[in-house]
Amino acid sequence: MRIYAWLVYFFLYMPIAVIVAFSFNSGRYAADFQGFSFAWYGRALANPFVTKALVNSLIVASVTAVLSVILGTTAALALERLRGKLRAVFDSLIYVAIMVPGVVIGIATLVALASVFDAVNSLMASLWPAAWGSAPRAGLGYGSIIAAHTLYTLSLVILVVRSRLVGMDHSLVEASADLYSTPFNTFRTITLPQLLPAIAAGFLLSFTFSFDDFIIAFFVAGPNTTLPIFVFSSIRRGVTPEINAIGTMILGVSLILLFTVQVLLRDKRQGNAAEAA
Amino acid sequence: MSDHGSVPDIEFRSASKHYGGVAAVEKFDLVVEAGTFLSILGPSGSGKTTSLRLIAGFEQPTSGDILIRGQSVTDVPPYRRAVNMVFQHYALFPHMTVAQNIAYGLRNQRPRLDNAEIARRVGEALELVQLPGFGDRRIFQMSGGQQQRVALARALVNRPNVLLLDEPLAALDRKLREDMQHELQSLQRELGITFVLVTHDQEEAMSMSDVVCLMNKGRIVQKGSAQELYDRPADAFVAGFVGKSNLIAGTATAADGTTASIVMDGIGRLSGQRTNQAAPLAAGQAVTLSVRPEIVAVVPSTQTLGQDLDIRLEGRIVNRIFLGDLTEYRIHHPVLGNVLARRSRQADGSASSFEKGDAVAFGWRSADVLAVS
Repeated sequence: MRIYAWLVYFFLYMPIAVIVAFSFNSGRYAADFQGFSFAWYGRALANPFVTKALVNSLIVASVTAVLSVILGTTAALALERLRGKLRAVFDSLIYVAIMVPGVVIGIATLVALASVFDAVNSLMASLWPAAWGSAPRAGLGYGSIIAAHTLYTLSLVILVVRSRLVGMDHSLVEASADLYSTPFNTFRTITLPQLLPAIAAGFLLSFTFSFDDFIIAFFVAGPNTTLPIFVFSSIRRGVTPEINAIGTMILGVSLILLFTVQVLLRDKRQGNAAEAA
Repeated sequence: MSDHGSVPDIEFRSASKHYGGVAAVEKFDLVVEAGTFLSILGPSGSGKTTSLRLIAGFEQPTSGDILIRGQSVTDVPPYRRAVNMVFQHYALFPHMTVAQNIAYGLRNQRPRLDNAEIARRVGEALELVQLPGFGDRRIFQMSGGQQQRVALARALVNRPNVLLLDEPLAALDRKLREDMQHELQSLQRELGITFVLVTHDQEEAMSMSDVVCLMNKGRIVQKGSAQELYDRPADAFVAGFVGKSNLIAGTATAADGTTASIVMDGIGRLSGQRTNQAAPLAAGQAVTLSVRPEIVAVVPSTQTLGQDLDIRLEGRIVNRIFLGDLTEYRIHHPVLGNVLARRSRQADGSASSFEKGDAVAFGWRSADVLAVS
């Protein structure tokens, strides 16, 4: 049983470990470890295509995370007040959104955006005065990646914030009202601070997902290249230690963010225990 | 608000609260005079907490009206009512310090109070609940008893007309609870404001309050001082709920304005003094006799009971609970079932203690028995 477990971990993590190890290889061949070096990290960060892709990824991930948190938190608060069948419908829709494969979200978003752009562009072209030159055209780009990512990460934020909201003692809100606080002031001074760890966790989860995502971005990125798309297209020219270095950096950032999420959500449990005591 | 004496602090006018057709509070009529310590006592599900939440404004009455200081508050939201509540689990804000918790209500007051005034009043409130210097602590650094005091300070600092307390002592251990009972009582006397306390613990209600309002199934069963409820229970529910009692139900064979009696097979006639003479009672109607454990005398079966006892029975001890100054015995009688008797400790040790299985003679004076309908 124990050997079996070790084998599972071996198959799961060995490839990742190899990539991390070879990112420090001083030689130029992926399969032959010649010596320890940070050289490939320097090469990767000096490559303008890598930095451009990295900046693209950071912009997309940040905007996705901000949008998801705003929309997701307000949605969670609204769903909390919903009762009965309507609530059950929304609950299952949220879970469905998380379980739909990335490929489906990618294709669906692409098709939907393409038809919307077609309609909007032809309408704009017909309305645009000829004197102003050619009409602006909407197309795939940052906006479409952000929209597709937010579609998915929104559900993550709703779930995380909702679980915190359910765990929140409703008598805190009543106590606030009892102490002359208007409903808006209660939201600002009591509910929001209570939800903050969950909102922060939702932000980081959304950021990590968007930063790492390849499948959805691949469909809707248009001319823009995010870091995962860059890695994928470079691999066709052979795996170099430079790719290993980029992969290791992505892995490092993701692990740090996920670890922070864990800490934020654990704090919440300790907080509740202290309240009960 | 000049005429304190005449306007009651709280008035329920036939207020009802229904949840989907089920009545939590039904046709509630209650007047709470200013400066009273009132307890609303009742078993769980009796509607006592709902009645408190109606005063605070967390629930709206389905029908009827509620007045605070003579003003109808039915359409006034909780944050505009001059009452403050101490919640059952305190509901302290965990992300704020003790001082921030206490200052919360003051900061929401309009016109605004300046910071110096708020700091001064928070300090006073901490003094009042004997927690001076604890202002910078976090809530989770406070013990249960200290959190209770912070909750009290957070409510009292606003100088409300009425303080509402929802089972405030339920989460404390026995020793702390008894200390807090004394403190609450002296606080109420000191401040002179109306306290409305909800509890299921009859000892708590009886030890602290001027007036006890006993509820059952959404209605007020009896309202009066603790002694009135104990000595003159309005019905069998009150007799059973307030203090311990042996209740013997039967059909009245004879009843007049002052006494009622029933006949039990194998015992004969049992009778008691009527407590609620306003309620008509005639032979053939149901009546319950309430025999308090302290009026039941017990001696070993080899001895004779005192001459003044007109009811004389025999039984066997089935259980004994030592309470220090008192000992409680459960005596099995073939007709009455288990009868509870309570004997106080004698200075000379003459009332020897009985063991489980001992055969005993027991009895009481009919003049001490209450008959309730």
